[in-house]
Amino acid sequence: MATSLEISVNGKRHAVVYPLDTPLLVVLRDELGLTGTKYGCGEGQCGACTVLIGNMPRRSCQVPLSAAVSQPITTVEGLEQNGNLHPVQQAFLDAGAFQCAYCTSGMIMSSVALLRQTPNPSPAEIAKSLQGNICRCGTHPRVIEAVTRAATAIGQGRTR
Amino acid sequence: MSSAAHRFDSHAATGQPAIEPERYEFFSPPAHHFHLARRDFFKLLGAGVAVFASAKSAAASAQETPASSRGFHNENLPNDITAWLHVGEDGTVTAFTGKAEIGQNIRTELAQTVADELRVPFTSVRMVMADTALTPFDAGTFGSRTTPTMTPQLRRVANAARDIFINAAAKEWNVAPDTLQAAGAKITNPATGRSLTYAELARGKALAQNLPAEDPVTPPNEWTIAGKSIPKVDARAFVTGAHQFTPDMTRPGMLQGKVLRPPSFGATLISCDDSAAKALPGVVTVRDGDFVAVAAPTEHQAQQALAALRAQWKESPAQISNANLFPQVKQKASEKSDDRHRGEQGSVESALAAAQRRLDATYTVAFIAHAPLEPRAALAEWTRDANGEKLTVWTGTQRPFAVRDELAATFRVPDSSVRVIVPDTGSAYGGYTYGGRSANRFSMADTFVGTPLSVSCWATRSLRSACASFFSLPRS
Repeated sequence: MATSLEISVNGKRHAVVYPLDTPLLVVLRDELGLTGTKYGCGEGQCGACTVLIGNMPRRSCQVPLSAAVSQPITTVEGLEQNGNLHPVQQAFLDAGAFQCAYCTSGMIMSSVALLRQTPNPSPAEIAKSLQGNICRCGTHPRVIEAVTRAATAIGQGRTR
Repeated sequence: MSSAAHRFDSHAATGQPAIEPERYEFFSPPAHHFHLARRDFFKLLGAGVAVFASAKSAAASAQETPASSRGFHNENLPNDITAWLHVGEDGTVTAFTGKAEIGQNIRTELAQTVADELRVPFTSVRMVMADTALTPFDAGTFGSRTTPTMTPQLRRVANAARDIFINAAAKEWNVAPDTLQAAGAKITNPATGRSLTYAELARGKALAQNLPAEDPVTPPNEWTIAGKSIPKVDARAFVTGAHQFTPDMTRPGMLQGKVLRPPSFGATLISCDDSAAKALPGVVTVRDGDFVAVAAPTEHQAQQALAALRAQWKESPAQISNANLFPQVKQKASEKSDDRHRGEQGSVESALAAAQRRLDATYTVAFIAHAPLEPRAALAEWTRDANGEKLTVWTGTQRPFAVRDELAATFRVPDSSVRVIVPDTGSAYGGYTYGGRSANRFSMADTFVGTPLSVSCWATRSLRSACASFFSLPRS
């Protein structure tokens, strides 16, 4: 049964009409056209669809729409501000922390969440925190390097 | 000049968002002649300088066609002329290759190679890749063959283009070609200090040259752009989520398709009641033998329609399981004795007999799926006009030309009616080497003439049996 409700995505409110159990991922991609959030496995194993709900990283394929109405949602498209990349995006770019890049949106969102909670994570903490984000190309060492760089950049003044 | 090259540049001028190199097909004029002759290429890309490969020299590039013993069907070499490189009147360099970018970063590497050999800035080179309508035939992107085979090929191509410019400048100044130098996208005469840019030399011309059989290229110790570690082309689009992989692409009026999957391997369809599905708004159902599919305006509606199908399947009882998989594999391997002893040298028995120590053990590795993170997906658009039928398909594959042939055979249309384009893809790892079953994804396409159709293996797919890679955690 489709229900009309409002969600806040990247600072904008959107009225959507969907059944309450529709995965948030479907609404983001299909309804709002935010295809930066990727569909990987559809069952919460790969992390490609990670978005922030409030400050928490969540697999949007596993979040029913009903659980996404109370807090603001941030997708990878919402990180850039005034044409400036988020420090985490910039660090991934500078470190070349991707090959095919299908996992990149999810990796970046998980990293943003980590750095909000733990501003200076150790490589082991980064690895543990990103364990739910699968990269099949094997870019893990560079991802750890990128997150470390981002932590430094944020520490040096850019608080995001 | 109403050419694709011109259209690229017009976006910057009109303030439209920049287009990624592989997105050109949305803006380029329709190419009705898929095997383009020289004049068609100049028509499409505008005046300038181009390097072509005749059928004879194309043979060199196609030599990597694998032997049939590896299970690939032999493909005929192209008997048409295909272009490898074009330099437009604005100096923009477009290089063409049938190789696909699947995350191995060859879009960057090949552009570096062309820029290096042609003596132009890296940023002036655009790669058109893996488009069966525009790029030279290619057997496929596999076996780590791009660097050893495609970089030397494009180097020879760029070298030939450089020769064209040198000869054009020599003619202009009435001097010997070997007195001139190529650097910084221009030809200079050191004796007079005069120079002409490639753009100036290309203006108003339709100069073309076949690829010479042999032409010495720049040795590695003189490379200035190739071999350097530089950021991936379009890197920004990947960290902003702007890059569109096949599952992200849309076309106006597109329907989302979903295929009904059997509950187990080899199951056959007894019956399928699609009345409930068809009653849903905007839903179309298709049945062709055991193949059942639905299409609807949105992903969500298509999913609902799929769930509303009432299908009865007959499953085959004797299925291979993990428990009896390895004995089966072993048995099959010994049956194929030719394969097993291919390339065998010496004697295992005598080596073992002479060994100081003998270790008997059996090792098995889980039978796993390739599981690239990007799901298998395709976007198909079937159009019909006075010129006939045309099927354009965007899909992640390592063998676009094989997929084209497969689709042409499936729909009984000429190869020239099918165009396969590979958007930069979310990896493949060999899993997209076989065109295989791609036709299955589009079996419904001809039902939707004039309506773009996107089909993704969107159903939940398990990565549990996949070769997934995780961050290594410190042992504690």
